[in-house]
Parts: sequence; C-alpha cells; structure tokens
Amino acid sequence: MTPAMKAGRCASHMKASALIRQEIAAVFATAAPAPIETPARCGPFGLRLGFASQDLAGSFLPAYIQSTPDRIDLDLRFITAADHDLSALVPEAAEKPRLLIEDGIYSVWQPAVIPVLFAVDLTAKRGIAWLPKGEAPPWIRSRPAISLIHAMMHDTPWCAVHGAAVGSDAGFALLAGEGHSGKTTAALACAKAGWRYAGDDFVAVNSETGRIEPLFCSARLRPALVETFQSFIGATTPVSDFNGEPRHELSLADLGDRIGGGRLRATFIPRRRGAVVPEFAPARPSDAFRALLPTTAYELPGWPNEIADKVARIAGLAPVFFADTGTAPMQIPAAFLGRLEQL
Amino acid sequence: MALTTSVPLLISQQFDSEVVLANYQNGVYYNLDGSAAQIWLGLRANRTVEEIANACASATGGDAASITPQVQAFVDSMLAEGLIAEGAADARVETWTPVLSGAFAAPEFQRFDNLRELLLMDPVHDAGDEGWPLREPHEG
Repeated sequence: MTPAMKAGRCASHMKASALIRQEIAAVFATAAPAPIETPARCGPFGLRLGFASQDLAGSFLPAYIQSTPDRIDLDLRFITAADHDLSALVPEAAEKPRLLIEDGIYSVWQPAVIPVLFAVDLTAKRGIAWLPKGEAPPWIRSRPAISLIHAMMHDTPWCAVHGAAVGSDAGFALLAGEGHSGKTTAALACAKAGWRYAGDDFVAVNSETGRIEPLFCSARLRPALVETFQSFIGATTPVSDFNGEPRHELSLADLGDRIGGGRLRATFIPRRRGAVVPEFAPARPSDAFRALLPTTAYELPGWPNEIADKVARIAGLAPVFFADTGTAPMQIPAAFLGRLEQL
Repeated sequence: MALTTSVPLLISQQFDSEVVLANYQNGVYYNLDGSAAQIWLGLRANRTVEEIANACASATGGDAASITPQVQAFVDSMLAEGLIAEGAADARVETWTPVLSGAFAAPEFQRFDNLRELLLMDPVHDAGDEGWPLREPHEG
C-alpha cells in the first residue's frame, strides 16, 4: 500500500487540516535532511529553505534573499511527487482551486496547467511547496510560496502588497499599479542608479509603522527593457513564457546590501500618459488603495477583509502621487528623488 | 424592505468623504464620492431613503421633495449593481449627518472593471470557502 493510500485510508476519518498537518510532519520526519538547505529572509521573517533536488533549488533559490536571519520563523521544504507522495491531500474536484484555513493550517491548491500545493502548519512553523509535476508556473518562481508568507502575516501589522519599492536617503517609494504600469521599469532604473531595492512585484509593508522590507530579490523583465537593463541579466538568467510573452527572470542577489528596506515616504502610482520627462500629479489615498488592493487580494487567498484594512492603512501612511514616468527610464531616479526630497 | 451594506464578497473602505467598494467575485471596483458616498454611509448608519434625503436637504439647503427621488434612484442602482442588498439592516448609528458642501449634486458611482482580465489570469482568486473535500481513497 502506498503512503498516499495509507493517508487516504485515514483521510475519510480526519479533518482536512489534520491530514495536512500529519503530512507536513511526515515530510519533515524524513531522516535525511533536504539535500540543499539554506537560510533566507523574506519580509520580516527568517526562513530555513530546504530543496529536495538541485533542480528545485535552481528554480526557486535565485528569488530568495540568502542571508542568516536572527531566528527561523518558518522551515520551508520544496518537494515533488517523486520525493513525497502527497496525492492524498489533493482535494476532490482537483481542477478547482482550493483554500483551507483551519486549526492553524493554511493550505492552497492551485491546479492551473502546472499544479502546486502550498501548506503551512502555523503552529509548528513548517511549510511545504509540493510540485506534483516537478515544476512550477513561472510567476511562482519569481515569488515562491508567497501565499505562505501571507498566512504568517495574519494577525500581524505586516502585509505583502502588490507593488515595487525602492529607497534612497530621502526614504522609500512604494510603486503601486497594475501590470504594465511601469513599476518594474521605475524600480530597476532606481536600482541601477544605486538605490536600495525591495522588489518589483510584491513587497512587505508594516501597515502601522510604514516599514518596508523586501520579500524576494527577483524581478521580471519584459523584452522592451532588456537593452536598458542589460547589466542585470546574467549568463544563466532564464526566460519564461508569461501568457505568450517572454520574461527574463532576474535575480538581483548581486546587489548585496542594497537589497533592503526602509521607511515608506511616498506612494507613487506609475502610469503612462505620454509625458516625455517624468511628471507627478497629486493623488488620493483611495487611488493608492485601488492600485494596491486588486492583485494583492487576488493572489493572496484568505482574510480579504483584513487585507483590505491593512492596504487602506498603508494607502494613508504617506503622500500619494500619480507618476507619469516618461520615455527615458534613467531619468526616473532623479525625478523620484526630487519628489521625495520635497516632502 | 430592509437594506444592508454588508454584502458577501464586497469589501468597503472609507477614505474621508470617499467610499471605495471592491467586488471580490467579479473584480469590479467602485468609487463613491460626494452625495453618492453619503447615501451609502447613510444606509450603513441604518437610515431610510427618506431620512437620508431629508438629511442631505438640510446639509445642502436643498429641497427634500426633489432630492428624495434622486436618492431612491441611486439606492435602486446600487441594489441592481450588488453594492447593497436586501437583508437584515446594519446596526443603527445614533448620530449620522451627511458631509456635503454646496448644492446637492446627483449621486453616481464610478465603476472600474479593468480588473476582470486579472481574474481570468490568476488561478487562485476564486479559492472559496467551501472547504477542502478530501477524496475517498481507492486501492488499485
């Protein structure tokens, strides 16, 4: 009888959360440690990452900020069906996405074309990313297991928000907007100009203090930006297919200490309205809220009201501006700095 | 007919005199400003259409008889859009006064539906709370 069948036999008598907790414990009970283990930090949390193979580490590790944190808040293992048979956890009607928040277990089943199961035992501080097909969709590689980090932020002032963030001596700018609004362009331009970089897609923000921390050191580059940011593209930078559009999956780990956080000073909402040089226009907290919330809420399942409350607080923490970022990306850092210094 | 502003999968946030509503089911966002926001806030304070219209008339020096049908029409449009619902009314707030300046302007909401595409792209957004039904084990 396979482990999945054994688990399945129990499944009919167990709550889903109990079965998931049992299976997470079983993954960590394996005598041999994960072949590749490394510490990392992710927002306000310290992680111990374990990868079942070099391939998995190669897929996900470049996105993580590898450093030794003061404490380990989450032990996280990346495993495939070949390492652990967790098929008993795949819910009925497996084509549907599922979310379970029950008894200290948070679990997300993302079927899509390449299915992924994320689960965390918040009490044991252990999580798993299970890849039944041995691979993950590209957008997960750039922000691996972010839903589990979201779960750990529950009942804290921290929130993973959909936005980029970069910082200068004048403070940090949070860049809020939908895809193609220019967040990555502005963030990479600032990073190239020597600013601190906290992310181009999702960053951690403390909704009470305005402290920003990076979650990952990744960025996703569209073909049109390759020439401007050639210096960030390494010899082994993978190119993924994102809905038919190529994306360079960058790791900005080489920025070293410049991967970091700071205090929110302003929220910029990038938009392209035809300005040649960067232009700013005053915006309202409600504009920042509408720019930040949609992707944040849709990509981080669970506690929607809590997310909305935190995002609303973040939207009100600092002045908000629309930023028409112009046609020359490398003019953006000076324009941002000028605006931040006026505050 | 009792009306409530507590609608499942509809998130509301107030920013000073603005109200933003986000429908998590279909990805449509709404911005309510001016009299529109005050009418929604009046409903949330458990006021009737007549009470809201009278309060708006007092706040703006307007004519309640002409404001009432505008408030009623806006309430009907919010009901049709799913921004409010029939059901147990919200708890009554003892003191509520609309914050309006100038003449009463016809209420309307701004609708942002450019996020529908996102809903189609993202594989997790509709992860509901139906639980996590475990499959029956089958031994092959």
